[in-house]
Amino acid sequence: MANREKTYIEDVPRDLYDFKDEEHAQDFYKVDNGLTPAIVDQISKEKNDPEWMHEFRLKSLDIYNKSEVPPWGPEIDGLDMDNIVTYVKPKTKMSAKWEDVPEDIKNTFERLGIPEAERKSLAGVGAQYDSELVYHNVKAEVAAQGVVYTDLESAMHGPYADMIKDHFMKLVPPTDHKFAALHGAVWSGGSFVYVPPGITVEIPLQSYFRLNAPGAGQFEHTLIIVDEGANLHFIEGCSAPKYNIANLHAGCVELFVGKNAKLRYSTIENWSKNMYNLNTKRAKVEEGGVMEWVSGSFGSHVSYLYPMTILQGDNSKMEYTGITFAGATQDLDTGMKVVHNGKNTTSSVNTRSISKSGGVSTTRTSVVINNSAKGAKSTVGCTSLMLDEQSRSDTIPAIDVRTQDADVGHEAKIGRISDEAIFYLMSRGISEEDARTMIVSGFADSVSKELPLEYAVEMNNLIRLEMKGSIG
Amino acid sequence: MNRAADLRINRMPGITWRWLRLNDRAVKVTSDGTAALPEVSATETFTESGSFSDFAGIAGGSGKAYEEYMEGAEESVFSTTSNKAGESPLKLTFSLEDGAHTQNRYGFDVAPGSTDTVIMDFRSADDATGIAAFQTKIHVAEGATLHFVQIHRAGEGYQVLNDVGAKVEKKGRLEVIQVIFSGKENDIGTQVELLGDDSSYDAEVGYIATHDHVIDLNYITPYVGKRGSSNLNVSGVLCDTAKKIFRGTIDFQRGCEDSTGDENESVLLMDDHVVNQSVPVILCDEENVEGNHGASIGKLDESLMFYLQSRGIAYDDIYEMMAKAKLEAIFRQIPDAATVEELTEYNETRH
Repeated sequence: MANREKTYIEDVPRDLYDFKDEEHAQDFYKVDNGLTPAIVDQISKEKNDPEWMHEFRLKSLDIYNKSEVPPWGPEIDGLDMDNIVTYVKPKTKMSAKWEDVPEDIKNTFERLGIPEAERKSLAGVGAQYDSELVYHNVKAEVAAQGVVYTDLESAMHGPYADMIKDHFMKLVPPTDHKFAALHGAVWSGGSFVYVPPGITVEIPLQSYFRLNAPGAGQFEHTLIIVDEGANLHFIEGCSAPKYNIANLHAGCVELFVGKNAKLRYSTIENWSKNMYNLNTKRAKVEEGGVMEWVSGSFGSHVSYLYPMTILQGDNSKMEYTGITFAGATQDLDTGMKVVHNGKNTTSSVNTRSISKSGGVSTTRTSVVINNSAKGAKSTVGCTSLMLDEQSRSDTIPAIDVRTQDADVGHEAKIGRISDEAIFYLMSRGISEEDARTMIVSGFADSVSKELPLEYAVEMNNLIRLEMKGSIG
Repeated sequence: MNRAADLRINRMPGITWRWLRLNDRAVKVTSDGTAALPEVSATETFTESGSFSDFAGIAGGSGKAYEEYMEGAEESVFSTTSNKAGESPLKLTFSLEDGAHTQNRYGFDVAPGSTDTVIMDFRSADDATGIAAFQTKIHVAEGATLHFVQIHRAGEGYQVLNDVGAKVEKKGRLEVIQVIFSGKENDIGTQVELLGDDSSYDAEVGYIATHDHVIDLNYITPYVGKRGSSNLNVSGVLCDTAKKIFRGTIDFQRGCEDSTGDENESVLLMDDHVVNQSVPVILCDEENVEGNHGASIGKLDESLMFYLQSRGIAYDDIYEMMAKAKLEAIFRQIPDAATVEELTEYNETRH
C-alpha cells in the first residue's frame, strides 16, 4: 500500500461552550474543598434534607472511603477530591419564570439556546447551574395531564416524598461503585419526573446541566418514573467552560419504566476537556415496557459512562444507540450494559466511536442473559473509526448467556476511512476536509436520526467542529 | 517434590468490569514433580535439540503466574533444519495416568523456510483423574510454516492446563488446530505474536463440554510487524451444566500497518443450565488496520430443526449430530490423514 500524505491542523476553539462567567463570591454559597463528614453534614443542612437522607449521605460517605478506584478504566490520577468543591449554590431561588433568573446565569443559558429550544420543541425545561436548579418550568397542558416535573429537593418534601424515598438510589445503590457512593454522599440538584398511567407526553422534557465554577463537582440526581402504559421522551444536555484544573461530574440517573410504558432518554454530553465525567445511569423495565437510549458523548477529559438496563418484565425491550467522539486529550470509556431477566426480552445495541488527534475511545459493553430469560434475543454492533495514527480505539464487549433458549449476535469492527471513499468524493469536486466530514457525519447518522431535529443539528455541528482542520 | 499453588491464569490484556468475573481464572494446581511421558513418533525433519531457555522472550497466553509455576518442569526442545518440508508429522501422544499430577514444557523451533506439523494428543482412560500442566513455546522463523495441532481428550476427572506461546517471524505462518473433547477442566491460554512483516496466524478451535465440565480459553494476538494477518475461529457445543469462557484479544500495536485480524465464534447451547461467557476484544493503537469480530450464540435454528424433524430425525439425535459435525468440521482440517481417521472414529463412538 502506498504511503499516505498527512497534514495536521489544530482544532478550532469551542467558543460556543467554553465561555466563562466570572463567579463573584457574594453571589454564591460554597462549601470548602474536599470531602469530610462535616462537609456532608453542611450540604445536608443547607438542603434541608429529611433525616433519612442525612443518614443515607453519611453511610454513602463511609462506603466511598472504603471503596477502591476501578482498576479497569482510564486513569483518573488527575482527580484529587481534596481539591474539589462538592457544593456551589447560586444565591437565587429556583424560578418558574425566565425573567426572574439572575441576568448572568440567564445569559449563559440563552447563549446555549435553552429558552429558544423550550419555546420551539419542549414540554418542559429544568436548568441547573453548578449545584442547584435555577429554573424549572413545565407547560400548563402537560402539568394538567398530571405529569410531575420538578426539582428533586422540593419533591422530597411534597406529596411524592414516599415515592422518592422508595426509589432513590435503589437501582444504583452506593455500594455499586466508588463514584456512586460519592454521589450518594454529596448529590444536589437534578430532576424528578412522574408520568401517570396511560399518559403520553407528546413533546420532550429537557434538563440542561451547566457547571461553571472552576474546581467544582456537579452531582445532580435524575429520577424518572414512567407509570403503566405511559410514554415520555426526556433529553439531557450538559456543558461546561474549560479550566486548567479538574472538574468532576458524578451524576446519577435512575429510570423506572412501568408495565407497557415507554421511555426514551437522549443525552448530548459536551463537557469541557478538563472534566472527569463519572456518571451512572440505570433503567429497570417492567413487563412489555420499552427503554430507548440515545447517547452522544463529545466532551470531557475522561469519561466512564455505561447506561445500564435491567429487562425485568417479560416481553420488555431495550434499544441503545450511541456515538462517542474522542479528540485530543480525551480518554472516553463509554458503552452500555443490559441484563435480561424476563422472558422474551430483547435488546438491540448500535454503538459508533471515532477517535482522532490522539484521542482514546473505548467501547465497553456487556450483555447478560440469565436463566430466567427464556426466549431472550440480543444483537450488539460496535463500529469504531480511527482518523489518524496518534489515536487509539478499543472494543471490549462481554457476553454472558445462562440459558439454552437465547439468541445472541455480536459484531465489532475497527478500521479507518477508506482512501477509495475519499478519492471518490474528491473526484466529484469535494475538498478532502469536507469529504472526511461527510463520511464521519454519515457514520454518525444512525445516532443523529434518532434525535429531535434541533439536537441532531447540534450533534452534526459538534462533529463538524471537531473535524475542522483534521486533514489526515 | 510436591508443589501446590493458587494461580490466576488466562488474564485478558484489556480487562473489564469485575462483577462479570471473567477477566481471568482462579485455579488450584498441584504437581507431584513428575512429567508425563509421551510416545514420540519418528520424523525425518525434527530432531530433539536446543534449549528451552532459547524461548525465554516468548510469552504464553496463560500468564506470568503460570510461567513461574512451570519453572523447573521437564523440558524438551525439537528443532528442524532450514528449507525442508516434513512429510510426516511429529506426534507426541500423552497417555495421562490415573492420579498423576504432571508438568511438561516443550519448545519447537521451526527453521527458516521449513514446513512442518506437530500433533500433541493429551488422552487418558475415561474415568481417570489428575492434573496435567503443559507449556509449549514455538518459534516460527522467517518464511517457515508450522501446523500445530493439540487434542484434549483426558478423562472425566482430569484437569488439563495448556499454555502456548509463539513468535512468528517475517513471512512466517502458524496454523493452530485445537480440539477439546470435554474433560473435567481444560484451561488453554494461547498467545501468538506476529512479530515479522507479512507474518500470519490462523487458529481453528473446536470443543464440546458436557456434565459440569469447564473450558477456559484465552487467545491473545499481538501484532508488531506490518501486514500481519490472523483468523481465529472458535466453534463449540455446551451440554448439561457445562461452562465455557472464551477471551479473544486482537492487539494491534502501533506500527503494524496494513494488518488485518478476524475473530469468529459460534456456540451451540444444548441444555438449559449451560453457561457461556465470551469477551472478544479488539485493542487498536494503529490507524491503518482492520479488525472484525462476529459471534453467534444460541440453540439450533428453528427452521433447520423443523426440516430435520420433518425428515424423521428425533430432537435429541439432531443435537447430537450437529454437535459431532461441529467438531468434525474442525479436526478434518488436521493435515494428517491417520489422525483425522482416528478422531472421526473417536467422535462417532464417544458419548
